[in-house]
Amino acid sequence: MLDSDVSLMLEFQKGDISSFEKLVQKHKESIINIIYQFIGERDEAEDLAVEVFLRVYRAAKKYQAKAKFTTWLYKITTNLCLNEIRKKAKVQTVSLSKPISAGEEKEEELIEKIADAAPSPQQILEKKERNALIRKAIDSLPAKQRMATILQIYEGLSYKEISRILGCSVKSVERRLYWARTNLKERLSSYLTVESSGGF
Amino acid sequence: MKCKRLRRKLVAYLDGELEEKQKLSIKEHLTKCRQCKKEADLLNKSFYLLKDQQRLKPSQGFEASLRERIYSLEKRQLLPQAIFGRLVHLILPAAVAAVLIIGVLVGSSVEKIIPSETVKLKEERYLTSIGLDSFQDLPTGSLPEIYLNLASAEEVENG
Repeated sequence: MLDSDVSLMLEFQKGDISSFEKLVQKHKESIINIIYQFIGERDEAEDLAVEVFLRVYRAAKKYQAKAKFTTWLYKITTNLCLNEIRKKAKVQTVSLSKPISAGEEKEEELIEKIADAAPSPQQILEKKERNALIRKAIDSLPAKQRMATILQIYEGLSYKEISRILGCSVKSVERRLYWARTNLKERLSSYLTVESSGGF
Repeated sequence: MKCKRLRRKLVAYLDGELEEKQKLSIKEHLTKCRQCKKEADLLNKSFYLLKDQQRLKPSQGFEASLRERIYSLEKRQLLPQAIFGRLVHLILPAAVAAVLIIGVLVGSSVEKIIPSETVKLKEERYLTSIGLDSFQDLPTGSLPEIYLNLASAEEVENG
């Protein structure tokens, strides 16, 4: 049986534009968040997400239902993100230790407004600091480790699915995630305290 | 040593990506080894700290900007340059193939119309008419001619 996204894509291939709109509606949040976690800037994340769906639109005629639709969609997203940071590396505008810009602060405030009903100023400050540290920790990861981590933690994908998206073996995904999570654990150690003794 | 090897598998264990046998062996080890248990707890906590991050909501203008991009893409595709560009992709290879085929056909028919012996005969007659049949390789009095004369004289003497 075809997955429902594949059916929508095939309908769109036949010319039903509303199927494409349904796909955008369904996946836009995931795509924006994957790109945002990878790039770290909201406006850029939205622009790139538009580009992802534009590529889906353009590729519709050639689309073949070989795998899950999301695998294809995340592959487009991943390639776009990797190209983007390659471009940035070329013009040397990326700094792993850059301070959070005014735009990003505004963005975090926006996130907090959505998330919390009425947090105290102290809570806002703590959350801001924590978010900044997490952002910095994620930014410090090599590109493919970062993408594997984002797909696993935020999208809940299995190692096998990630391996298909990144075009590598499952073992390689396992290794990448091991190094990424060990690295993140070190960098976030100030927020981690062990008190539990329950088993996994 | 066992702890070091096991820790490499901890993340996959916590993500539920291991086979049953490996899973049980790690689970058992964690009940005995406090250091590994602590490491597993920290990795688990860091996972939830990251997962706890707020997700962004797409802006209200997202669909509108996508629609705008699609509209300009389609408009661009309907421009005469774009149509010509697409036609060039089709016409160019066809034109090259046609020229090659015509070249081969003309070449083979030329040989049929004028036999190769006739061509050779005509060539010889032409060379005789302009005096090229008695063409000397080396101009008289040139250095290479003198050298060749000396060499052939030497050959005769030795000869």
